[in-house]
Amino acid sequence: MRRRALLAAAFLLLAAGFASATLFALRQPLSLGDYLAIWGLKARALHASGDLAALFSVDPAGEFSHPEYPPLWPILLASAAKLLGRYDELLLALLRPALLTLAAALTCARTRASLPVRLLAASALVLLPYFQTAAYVGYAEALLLVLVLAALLLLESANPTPFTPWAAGLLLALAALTKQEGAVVLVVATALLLHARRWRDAAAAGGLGFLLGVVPWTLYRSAHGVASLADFAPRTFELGKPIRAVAAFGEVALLPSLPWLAGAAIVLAFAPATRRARRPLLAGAAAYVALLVAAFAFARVDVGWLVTWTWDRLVLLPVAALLPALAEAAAEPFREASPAEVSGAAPRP
Amino acid sequence: MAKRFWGAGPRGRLLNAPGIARDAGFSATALRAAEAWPARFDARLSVGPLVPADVRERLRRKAAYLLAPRRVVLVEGDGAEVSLTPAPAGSAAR
Repeated sequence: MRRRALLAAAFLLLAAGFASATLFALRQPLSLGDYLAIWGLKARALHASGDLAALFSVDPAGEFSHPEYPPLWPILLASAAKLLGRYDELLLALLRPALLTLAAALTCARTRASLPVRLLAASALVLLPYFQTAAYVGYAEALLLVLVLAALLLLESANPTPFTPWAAGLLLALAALTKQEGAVVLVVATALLLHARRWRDAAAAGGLGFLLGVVPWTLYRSAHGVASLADFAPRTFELGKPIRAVAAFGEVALLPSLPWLAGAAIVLAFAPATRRARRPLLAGAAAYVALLVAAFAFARVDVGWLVTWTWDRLVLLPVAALLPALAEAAAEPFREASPAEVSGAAPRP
Repeated sequence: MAKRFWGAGPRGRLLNAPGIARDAGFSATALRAAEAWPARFDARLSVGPLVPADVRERLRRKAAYLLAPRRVVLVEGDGAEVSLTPAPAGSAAR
């Protein structure tokens, strides 16, 4: 009876979250913020010209369109528009619920628990503030999230095939071609595989990810004289900037995030088995966040401004990646121990 | 309302989208120019000094989006002038 009620509640939450996210995406055509200035601008240029160099030529001085950003999301938007026969901002907004469906399915698949708990994890994903606003429709993070979650699903697999690390490497390469954060995920995932002494997997996933995801775009960009990161530069290094970034985060986000952070900490504190089983994921999320914070040391623009305008998009990836672990931790006190746990056998990392 | 929304077509919907509708007259002009001008032409956006800096930047981004793949070059106009003119590629800067 309790299971049935939980299942119904999870379904309702998932349906409500998905309906609301879809409504937010479709109540208006794509036209806001970075979509207009960056992603949509490049996609329209690519769609109209058919030339990848148009990503740079629309804003040759690189004053607002971030020509250094990887090209996969504008390519996907332009390709979808070609398939539709016209560049229609409203129809392209449908990509958002499509990607959200994939991300929710991947979260459900990554969660090692009963069906209601897996559905609750997927519901938590669709209810994330990033998806419950019209402001970020048309941004690249939804695609990045799907690619990273798919790669994590493969890397966490208990029954990997010889092709698993190659497929994960390909997905990480696509993630690196979507946003620079994808390259950070690639570095962290490779480091964790090396730490777990999964040498072959690290070589396959890291090598393929680097060769397909980082090298081609770097070469193409360099050939067109486009610098690597407009907002970051080695010469602007300053040790105090990451501290200022954390302080700015505390100012703009700590208060609304505090109940959620406390809840997550409490749930994990009472779930030793989940903490043990999910140690690589927790370490990976911590390393990813640490690398992002450290990157602020090289910021060229004001760190407070940068954090204020990007923090909610930057935290999307680690939060979404951790949702299965949090759902498993929340369910741990209510589940019966498996024979392996009773006998003390360690789960596969 | 839904019927009017879907019946508006891509052009009408885009001109009524929140990010575009704020400068509806300018956006309609830019969209007409995008349809009329050859793709090999750049665009010269003249904005006068009486137009606030944030509005100037907003119009420039909007023009770049609606006129893509053309390059939009911002030039100093007169008074409160806001105008778009075509220019052969590479010669838009005055």
